[in-house]
Amino acid sequence: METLFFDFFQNTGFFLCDYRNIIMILVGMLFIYLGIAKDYEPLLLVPIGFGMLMGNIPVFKGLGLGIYENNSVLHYLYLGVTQGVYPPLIFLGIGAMTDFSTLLARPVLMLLGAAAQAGIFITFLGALALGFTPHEAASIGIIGGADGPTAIFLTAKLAPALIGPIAVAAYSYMALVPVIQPPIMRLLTSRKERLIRMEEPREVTKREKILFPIVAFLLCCFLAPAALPLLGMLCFGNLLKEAVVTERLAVAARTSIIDSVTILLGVTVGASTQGDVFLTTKSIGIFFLGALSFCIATACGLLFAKFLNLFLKDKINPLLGAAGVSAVPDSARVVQVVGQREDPTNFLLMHAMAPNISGVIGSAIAAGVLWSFMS
Amino acid sequence: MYGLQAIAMNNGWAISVVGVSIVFTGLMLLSLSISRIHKVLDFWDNRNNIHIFRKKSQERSEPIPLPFTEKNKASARQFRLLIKTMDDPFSLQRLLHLAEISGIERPHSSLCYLIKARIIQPDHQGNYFFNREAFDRFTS
Amino acid sequence: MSGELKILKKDTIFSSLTQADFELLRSLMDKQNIQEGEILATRKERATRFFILSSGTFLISMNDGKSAVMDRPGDFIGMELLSSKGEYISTVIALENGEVFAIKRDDFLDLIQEDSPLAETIMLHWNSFLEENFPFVEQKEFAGMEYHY
Repeated sequence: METLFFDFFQNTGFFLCDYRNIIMILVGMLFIYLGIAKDYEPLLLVPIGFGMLMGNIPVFKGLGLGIYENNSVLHYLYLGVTQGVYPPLIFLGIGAMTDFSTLLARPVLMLLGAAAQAGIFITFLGALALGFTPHEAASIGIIGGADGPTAIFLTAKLAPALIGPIAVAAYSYMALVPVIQPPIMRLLTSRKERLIRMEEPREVTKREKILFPIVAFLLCCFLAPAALPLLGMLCFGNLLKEAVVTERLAVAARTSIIDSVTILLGVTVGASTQGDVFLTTKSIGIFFLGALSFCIATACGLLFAKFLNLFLKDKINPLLGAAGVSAVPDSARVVQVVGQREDPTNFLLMHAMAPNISGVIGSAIAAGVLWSFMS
Repeated sequence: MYGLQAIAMNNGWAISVVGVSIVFTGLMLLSLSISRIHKVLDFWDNRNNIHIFRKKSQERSEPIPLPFTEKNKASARQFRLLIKTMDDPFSLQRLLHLAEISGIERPHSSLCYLIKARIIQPDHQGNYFFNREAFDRFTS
Repeated sequence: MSGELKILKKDTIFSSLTQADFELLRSLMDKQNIQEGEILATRKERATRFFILSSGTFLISMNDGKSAVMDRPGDFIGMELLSSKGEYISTVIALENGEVFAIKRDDFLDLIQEDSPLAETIMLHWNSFLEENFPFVEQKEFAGMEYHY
């Protein structure tokens, strides 16, 4: 009888637990707290946080319980991440809920989104310098795109072992956009520049909004075919939205589909962050480089806007450059807040959505380019 | 291996430069394309006004340039505000009705003037659309 | 011949009519001066006259919000009165001061009876006119809407 009790006890989490599991469970609880109590990106942090709890329950290997065991439920759900299925479905929903008219009204603002993607490649260089392999460096660099699905998609293709820390880093920094960006925005712009008012955008017709996803998809995927899964679904979702006749499908894409996939993605990514994988020096490097990537991307967008103003008759408020990181719509909101601190009547939100959205497209193209270089 | 040596060893500089160039080129081309879409659509909408598309049997004479007084400009701007509240393309009879109830002075002749100046143009499907370029030209 | 009729004869479908036919038609025309904002025809009202535009600009409004603007001398307005139902299908408003030639329905129906070739010519031109200016209006065949030749 004692043997039975002892065998049972040996299979409990209390026996199998080590300090790394405890740390990750505490991190998971912190994420849940930040999501629920502080309202920091709750739709992401709560599933990821709870996934961390699930993934760090110590289990006896071989029983088909852990996410890395081939015949476990979590493993099957995790296949959507490792096989790159979930991120394109999320992009479908993003396309179906996004209005591209501010982008169409002033296409020059797209270039701010392009400039912000330079942060990806500068971080790529930094990661190489720190000793990461090219595949790992590319996966770390994409964090600067501030796009969770894109970061997960590329990491699943290039460095699947790092999905956990990279996803956590990407989503954490996305949640911290209101903290990270404002100091950089104030440092790199003068008060006079922050007070610049944008001219009213022209009206965009329905036909333009319908044509845009088709033109964007064809043009970008002909240039970077590896961006096909992400950009294809983004543009398809947007076409469903703008076509009106497919409103039912657009509603499904931006509600039930994206919500279901977000749940599965968050939980499985969280569960993949097991202590022995997450608590390594590599993860520290990833978090450090991820923060750097964000900062560089913000700075590149801001500086490029200032550069463009040297040539433009109608000046752009350089704060819009910070919205080139594709944390939609948080970075656009941050631009609005920082701009309004200088002038409460200066409404920059809708203008900031243009580079914000182009950042999504730019980070998808950058991911496609990196994937094709590394393959 | 670390530092600049690691970057050079893994072809980091080339990948970064080419990668940034491709992303930039892609978004620049997209930006150029979408800046042209509305012009192409305007051209397509106005194709009947271009002589190579005009049917020989029913040629309309070219419009005589109209003098635009300050009063015409003011009423053009008032109509513009009304058109902004409507769909595009819009119903001309509805616009006239809105102009009447809004108290625009001599709404019928003002509307007539805008049509003759091609600021309001037909889409040949029974609705009309606003020609912003003509509006800017006449009211500037 | 008055200046307005000369314009009609020269630039419009009436240019294809013989002089005798044109004079016959002219005898049925009643010149009217129209003021800006004046309503010539109201949809669903009994159609007693149709009009040939001499000068001015007119807005022809349909039931579904669609419309067309007529400003060419010789344009037809309200010829739907020739259907047996005899109701206007559109509302006609003058956008500026102008002139029209009104022809009474009964007079035109008499013309059809007396001179079918002339009436047929006018009807054929009317159909082409409809196709060009009102392509969005479906030419449905309703019971009782057949033209009487």
